[in-house]
Amino acid sequence: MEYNVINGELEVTLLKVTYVSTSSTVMVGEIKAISLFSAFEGPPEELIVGVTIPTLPSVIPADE
Amino acid sequence: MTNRVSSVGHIQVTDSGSTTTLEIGDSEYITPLNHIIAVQREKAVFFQNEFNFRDYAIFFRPISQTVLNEDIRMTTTNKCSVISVLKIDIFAISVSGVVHIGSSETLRAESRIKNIRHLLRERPPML
Repeated sequence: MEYNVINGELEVTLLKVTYVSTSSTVMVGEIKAISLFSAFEGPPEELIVGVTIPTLPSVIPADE
Repeated sequence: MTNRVSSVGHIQVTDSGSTTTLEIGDSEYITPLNHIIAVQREKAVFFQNEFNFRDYAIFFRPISQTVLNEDIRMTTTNKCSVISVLKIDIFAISVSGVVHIGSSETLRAESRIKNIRHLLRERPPML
């Protein structure tokens, strides 16, 4: 397969990242091959111990 | 094939976990890898040698090897040979995270996470 790439000018003013997760990558540059693998095993949903935040009432009042 | 040069004006990293990498420069291979067993217990009791990775199959399940060299002829022409970012602001980099300024050949990331809950009440009826 023939694949032609023409890269123009690339300038970014701000790259703001809040959280780079486990074994993930933030890259500024070029790369040829990427292969990612992730496996997750957890308990059935109702066993998740945690706080469920009540959903806020809708801010926009319904126009009577 | 000459890669472009990455130029960054300002980097700010507020917090980085263990085994994180901040690489400025080119590299050949990037292989972030982590295995996690996360245990939440209703009663905070911790024994010394518990939870070995050997006991859980998730850490040994073979990865389906992705074909890394497809037959593809890629020709790139770079009008401007610089990738420039003025400011990078990263709040947190988690365990074995990578921030890489520069080019590379291959990125092979692997993450295996096992979550365990130990609750005092008896097990719910099986689904």
